Amino acid sequence: MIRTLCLIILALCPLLSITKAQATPIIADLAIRSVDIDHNFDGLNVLMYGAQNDAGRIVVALRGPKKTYVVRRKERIAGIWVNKKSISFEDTNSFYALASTHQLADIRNDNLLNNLEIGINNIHLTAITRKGEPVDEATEKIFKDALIKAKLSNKLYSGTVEPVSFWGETLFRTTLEFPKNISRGWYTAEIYLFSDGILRAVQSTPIEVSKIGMSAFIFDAAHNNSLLYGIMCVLMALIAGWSANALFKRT
Amino acid sequence: MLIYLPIAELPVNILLILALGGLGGILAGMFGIGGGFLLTPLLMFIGVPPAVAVATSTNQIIASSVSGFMAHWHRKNVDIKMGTYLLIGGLLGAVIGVWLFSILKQLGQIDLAISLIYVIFLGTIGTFMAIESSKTIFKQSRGIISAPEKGRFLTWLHALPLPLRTHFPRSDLEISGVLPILVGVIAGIMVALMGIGGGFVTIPAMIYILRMPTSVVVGTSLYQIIFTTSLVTVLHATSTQSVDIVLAALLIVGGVIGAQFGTIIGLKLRAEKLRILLALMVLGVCIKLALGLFIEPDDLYSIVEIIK
Repeated sequence: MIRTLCLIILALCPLLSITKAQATPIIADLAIRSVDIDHNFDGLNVLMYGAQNDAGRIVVALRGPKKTYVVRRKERIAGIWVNKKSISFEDTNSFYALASTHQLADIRNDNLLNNLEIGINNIHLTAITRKGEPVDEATEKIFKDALIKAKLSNKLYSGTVEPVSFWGETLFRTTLEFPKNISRGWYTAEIYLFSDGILRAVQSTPIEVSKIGMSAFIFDAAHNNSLLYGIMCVLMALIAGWSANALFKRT
Repeated sequence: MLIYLPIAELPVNILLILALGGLGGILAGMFGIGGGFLLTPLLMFIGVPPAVAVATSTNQIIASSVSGFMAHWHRKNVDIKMGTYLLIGGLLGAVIGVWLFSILKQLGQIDLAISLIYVIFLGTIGTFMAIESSKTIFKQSRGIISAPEKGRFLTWLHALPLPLRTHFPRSDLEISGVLPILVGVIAGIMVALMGIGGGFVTIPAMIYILRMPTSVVVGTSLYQIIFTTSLVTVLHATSTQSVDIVLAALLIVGGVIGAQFGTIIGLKLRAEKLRILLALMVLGVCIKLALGLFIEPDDLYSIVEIIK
């Protein structure tokens, strides 16, 4: 929420404050604006390039579409491992990766980074119970850590900060890595410029990740037209069974 | 040769799936059992989520039941009236079963429930089969020909003052219609929760409880299974979206081919010795599932994305 507000204010800043003609502090674009996942998709690196006109440190954040996750913990009951406690996390980025010219600590404003959700420990995750009630802090931390750990091991969250490299003084580039197991939806590549612990500029570029091909078609049919899909499954099996009988009739 | 399963969300080797379907088909051809009770756990072992394994197995059984039923229909080995009573119960059981299934899924307990039911079921069946077949082998080696056992029929059930007394001409029986309906309900619940045809329950029940002539038992059971599994497939598809049509189609193709081999093998070999092999297989699968329940998992936490 705070992050969105910051983004809006920053987006408006140039409109309010620019009195004389002035180059944008930072401008960037992506080599492609959409990613198609087909059955042999094996991940994709997307080039982000741009120009930096003011001094400062660049941070790029790639964030995936927001999802709801349920984290469940197994406990031993009568010798058997059973899912016991479960905590939900709503509005959680399904993907998260960073790139920067510097170490995040060099930005020298941890509060700002936290508000902007920059850094793996600054991602805002609010835990609620199945009934939608809030969760005490200790429990929240345990389940939040479990969620981030799972995301890190699936490579859907990145714990490291990738480099942003320069060509000369102003031109820079970095690669945004989309792993093979990303989910579809709208991603945003956000680029931030910091100097003296202050956010100087921000730009956000959307990227659409979509699934194409037969598998995506079947998945959509099963979820959006589930009755028709179910009937099709039954018909397929009935016809297959009947054909098998006709094919191998009493020898 | 890899293929991506759209609902299981998993790439699998086509030949492996065909082989699994084939194994089910061979068992069906050899022993006249569906093979669903082994197929579901085997799918779970290769990484298919338990809920998808159960729902897809159910879809696959429709096909094997239709071809089996047609063979019995041509030989007039089907009691349609009795089958319809079983079916009324079966459809009711299917609705109850899928309802339980989706509640368990919401609670995050469906994987555990499926494993637990299978451990109990396979453990019981496997033990009985191992004892029976080793007894038979032992007797045969001594040259004892066992007489068919008597006194196992549960005739007292027929004497209960149950309503809906009905005449079943094909089976030449006059019993309460409540009995086949109850048998159907139990079978229907098992279809929904386990992804099996339920023949394991209905066939012994039809012989020992309903006392139907053995010649019509299999055909009548298949008649009932076709409709029950069809309803369960549609209900799974609409309530939990866990039917994988690609996986089902591959299993069906494998099953059709396997059934042909199974019939040939079954005609050439003595079933008693193979039956002990089947018993060991069932117990092996049971132990592997049980270990999964008792061994501490590497990660106590599991993450599920909720699709709204």
